[in-house]
Amino acid sequence: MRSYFINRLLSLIPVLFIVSVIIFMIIHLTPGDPAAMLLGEEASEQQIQDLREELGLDLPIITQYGHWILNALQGDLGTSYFMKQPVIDAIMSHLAPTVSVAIIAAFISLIISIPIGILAATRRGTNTDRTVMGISLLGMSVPSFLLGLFLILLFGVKLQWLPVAGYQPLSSGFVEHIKYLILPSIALGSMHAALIARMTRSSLLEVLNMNYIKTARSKGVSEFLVVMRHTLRNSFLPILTVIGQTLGALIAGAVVTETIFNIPGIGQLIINSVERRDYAVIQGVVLFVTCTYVFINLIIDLLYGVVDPRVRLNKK
Amino acid sequence: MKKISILLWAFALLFALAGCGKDSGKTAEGISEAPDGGEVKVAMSAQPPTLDVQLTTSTDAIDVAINIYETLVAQNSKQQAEPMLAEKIEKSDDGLTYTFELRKGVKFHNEKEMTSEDVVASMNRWLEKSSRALLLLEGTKFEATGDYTVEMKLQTPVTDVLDIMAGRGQFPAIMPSEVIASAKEDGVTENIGTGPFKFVEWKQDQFIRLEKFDQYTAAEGDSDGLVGDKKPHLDAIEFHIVTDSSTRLAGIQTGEYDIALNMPFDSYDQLINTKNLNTFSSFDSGTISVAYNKKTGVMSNQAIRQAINEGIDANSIMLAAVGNEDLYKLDAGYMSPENEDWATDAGSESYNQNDPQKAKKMLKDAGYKNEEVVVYSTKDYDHHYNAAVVLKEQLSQMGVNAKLEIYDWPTLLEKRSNPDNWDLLLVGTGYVTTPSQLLVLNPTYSGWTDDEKITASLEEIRVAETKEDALAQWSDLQAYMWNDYLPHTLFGHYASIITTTDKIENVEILNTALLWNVKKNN
Repeated sequence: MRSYFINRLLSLIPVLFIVSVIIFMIIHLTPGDPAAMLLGEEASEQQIQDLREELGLDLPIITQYGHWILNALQGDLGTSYFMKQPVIDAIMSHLAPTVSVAIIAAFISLIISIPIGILAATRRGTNTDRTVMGISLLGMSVPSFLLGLFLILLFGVKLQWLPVAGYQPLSSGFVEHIKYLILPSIALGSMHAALIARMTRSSLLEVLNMNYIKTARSKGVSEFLVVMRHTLRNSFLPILTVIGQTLGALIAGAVVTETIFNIPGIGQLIINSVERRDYAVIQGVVLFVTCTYVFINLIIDLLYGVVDPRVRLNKK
Repeated sequence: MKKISILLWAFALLFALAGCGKDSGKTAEGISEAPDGGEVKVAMSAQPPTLDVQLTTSTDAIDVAINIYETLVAQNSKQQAEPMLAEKIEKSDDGLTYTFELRKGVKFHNEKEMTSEDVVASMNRWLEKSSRALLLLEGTKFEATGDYTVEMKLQTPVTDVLDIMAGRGQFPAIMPSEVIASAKEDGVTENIGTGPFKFVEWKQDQFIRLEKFDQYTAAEGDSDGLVGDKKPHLDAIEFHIVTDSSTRLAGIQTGEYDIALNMPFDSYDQLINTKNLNTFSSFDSGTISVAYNKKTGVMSNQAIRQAINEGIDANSIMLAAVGNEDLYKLDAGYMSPENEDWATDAGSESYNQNDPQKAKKMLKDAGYKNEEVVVYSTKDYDHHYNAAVVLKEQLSQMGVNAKLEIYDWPTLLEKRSNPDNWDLLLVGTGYVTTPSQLLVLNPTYSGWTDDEKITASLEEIRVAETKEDALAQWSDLQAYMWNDYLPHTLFGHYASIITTTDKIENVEILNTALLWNVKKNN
């Protein structure tokens, strides 16, 4: 188990290195200049040139990459040209809203999806099953931005139950904090909920057909225990994989939802930084998101061992 | 986000929120009974790159910074220059020296009193940093001649120097001298001015918070545009950065925001028909035009430019750009039609001719041989893109082999600086206070207008003895621009849309919402 963990951590290094080179090259080869964006379209060539020199943008790309990677290895991701603050601070200040939305979205999708997935599997072929499958198909097909706009118009503009947009930090009170997160979390979580529900159903069905389930039933074990103790645990690996991917996707992929609901999270940070050609921030965020994704996958892999003893045995 | 906006309107129609009709474009006036205090949330469409307005021409930066910073002279509601931090201005007989008597007792937000030292440091930095000052006021210097007296020395007489100083882009904000001394290439590190509101907090990509400056010393005279007796009534203003226009729309409808700037054109009808909202369409936004690349390629041929101009149907282009006849004006003037000193329709005989057949013939006569004509535009500004699509269609009707190339804004900024890349460039330009500041006529601005007659004419405007002489000279120049040289073809003037809830009183609109006299009625 320990060597597995260490191997997984070491395998991060080439991944991060390749990602850093690719992202560095892509953004530096894209037309557009942070100095020109900062000074506006009326700035003279000389003013832009002066600022480029001050920001170190006139150096060869290889030199710039060298500086950046050496600093990054020491934990310094550079300074944002636009925000005039360290990139790590910018990421941290934009992280809380994204994590808040992701957690609530994951919570909402899990409490809905797993029970209805179980329900559909145990009532296979019935109207309940068909309804659940229909709704989940709809959930997967409706893009989150469309659902988001619908929610804004219905619950924000028309009924005025919830704020239409914005973000309040936890420090302004739990209720206030949650109020702003409900609609974006539903918009973001619905697609994942649908995915997890379908995965729960199919994975349960596979196990429910196994001989040992039939044996348990024939021995008179109650249906509830059959599902909860024997089936669910043994069918949990694929579900866990989807949950893990969901969490990663929620952190990395909240871009559109954050824009619509005006939540100042990581998604908005990256969009804004690309528009401003704020190289240091783009590089920093991509590295950060890559690390998060890889880390979540690592945790999920480790959880396999906890959930399913067969994985533990194989690893030995 | 355009697609998202369209979908939102589709949904909005479904909901069909009922409302009663109301006049637009009215300004709230009269004495308000509302008590002082309260906070106002303003939704703006983009985060400013910096609040150091001496460096940037970003309108988002200016919208915020006019509350923080003041200038020696500033614009009144008719866009004329009037003293602001200066009490008295004297001009020497030779027109080379201006003496500014400063108002005494004016405090910066750090509670230091403003003296000539601060003014000289600020103005000299502005002369170095502002591209307009560099171009138009070369060799000018500011010196302190007393604690409250400052002299500006010009190398040649410049009639419109005060108007240039009162301009909004890269404006000469007066800051404490120590802030100027510690400034870097990318801007000052502290935002300290003498304005009615002081800078408090900038939460990146979320909001910029200003609070009432208790020790604000207002000037004498009625409040008028950016001058006169400005009174901060509100406790605080928060400028929220809300990039998605449909979110700004939903937010102003629910009262999440009190004021929304830069509302989308296609929401105008909905906004003016919504109860509890006041919507202003303000015709001081600027012009939409197409720049010709006069350095290289087919458009460097003046006869070809004239041929294309002959075929342009400005009305269709403006209608496509803003989508509503109430939101644009067809007018040949390059200066704001509302600018009493400079507005003229000289040259309108060549404007909006809409004769593609004649254009076709003129093109042939001019020696156009079906060369490819590259038209640049961006989707980051919907109205630019929409105008470009119609322009391309009109060019095709004239027999021009036109090709539309669309880039995101940063890419466009870079690509358009190379004259080998493009022939026609869709541009939106903001209004300036004098013709000499027109980007259209700036030899370094995209399009590269470089013509002896234009240069000489601009010089004459700048040294004209009286305003009347200057206007006459400018009319001649504008006629020359239309009938002969054609640096750009102007399509029309467009409005910006600002919406407030009906709790907001006394808002004055001059390019943006002026907030110092505003009260919030709860």
